[in-house]
Formats: sequence, C-alpha cells, structure tokens
Amino acid sequence: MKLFTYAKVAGGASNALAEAKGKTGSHHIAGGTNLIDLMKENVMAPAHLVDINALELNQIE
Amino acid sequence: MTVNGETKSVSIDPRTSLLDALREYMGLTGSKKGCDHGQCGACTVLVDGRRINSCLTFAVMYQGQKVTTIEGLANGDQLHAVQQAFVKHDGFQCGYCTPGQICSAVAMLAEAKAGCASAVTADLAAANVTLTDEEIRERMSGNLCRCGAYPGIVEAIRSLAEA
Ligand code: FES
Ligand code: FES
Repeated sequence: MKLFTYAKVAGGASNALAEAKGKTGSHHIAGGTNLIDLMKENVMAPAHLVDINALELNQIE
Repeated sequence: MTVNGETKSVSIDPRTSLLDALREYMGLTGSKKGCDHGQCGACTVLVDGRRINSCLTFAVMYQGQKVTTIEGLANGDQLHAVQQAFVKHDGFQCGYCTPGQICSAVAMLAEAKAGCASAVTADLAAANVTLTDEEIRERMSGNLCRCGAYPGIVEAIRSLAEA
C-alpha cells in the first residue's frame, strides 16, 4: 500500500471540501470498507485521506 | 484510544489497520485475522458499542474513541453473558471465528433491542424486532465459521434473545 497523509475534519461539509482542495490524489474516507480493500490491492492509491467521520452530518433534510 | 477501558497510545504508520494495531502493537491477539478483506468477520470489534471489521479500517481513525475487543467483554473471571451462552450451547469448534462471533453477537443483540431492522425484517416500521432464527442468521451473516458451528451459534444467541 502506498503511503498517504491523513487528516480528520469536523464541523460542516464545506470543511471536508476545503481540506481536499488543491491536493492531488485526495480522497474522502468514512468507514473504509471499500476504499481500504482497494488500497490493499493497489487498485486505489490516494495520496491524502480526509476522514469525514466527525462531520456534523446526522440528519436528512 | 481507549481499548477495553485502558488508554493506549501507540506510534504507528497510518497504513496500519485497526486489527494490526490491536494485535501487533497492543498485544491483543484475541481478534483474529481470517481474510484481511472484510469477508469473514473474524476481526470484528466494537467501537463505541458498534461492531466493525477491524481489518478494513485504519487505526488512526479511532484516536480518542472506545474500542472493545473480546478481551474486554468479561468482567474478571465472570464471563460476559454472550460468552457464557456460547459455551453452554456449543457455539464453536476450533474457536478461530469465536471472538468475532461473540463481539458481533453483543452488538447485534443491542441493535435488535434498539429496533434496527434487517434485510429479512417483514415490517420495517415495527418498533420491536423478534429475533427468529432467520433474523439471527441474517444479522450474523457477516461472521463466517469454517467449522460450521452455526446451529450452536444460533442457539446461543436465541437463548439470549429469549431471556
Ligand atoms: S479478517 Fe476482517 S473480515 Fe476477515
Ligand atoms: S469454530 Fe472454527 S471457524 Fe468457527
């Protein structure tokens, strides 16, 4: 698996977009069940992972 | 992160899965690595009470959270109710899948109690779930048992659902 940098974002969804902005190979991660499996097989190789678990998104509007 | 009530801090490569962090860096080898691809459930642990496959998630994502593994379920020598039920109803043979089965069952019983529906629940809006064998099998379908101890596993969980 290729090395990546990691950042966790909180607050509104715009923070996740801001964190990913301008970074090539940036990818969002929540649970990771698909992405990590693909990363293990080198099918995906994100350079930067933005963890969106702490975003305040807990309702459907 | 807090693991089984103890604060653990480790310095690891961000690529380390939660499972590897628990097994290789914290010495908690109860959680098993069956496939490392999210297919068998042997690595199931609880994060804030919810079950996850620890092989398909990075340990760095759980900073500051509460992780419970099979080692953290018993209270001293007093086995957890689900552990007791597995012993009583012969819910295992070789035991490889058992830590995952038990962690999964603990969370699954809590999910059912909270009224969560499954793919075989007829009435999705019903407030209460009756854990029939079909429901138990569906809800535990992420945990494979190569020894085929399923009848005992279902029996053990049913005994707790009825209790
Ligand atoms: S080792 Fe995690 S699901 Fe098989
Ligand atoms: S008891 Fe052997 S795999 Fe389940």
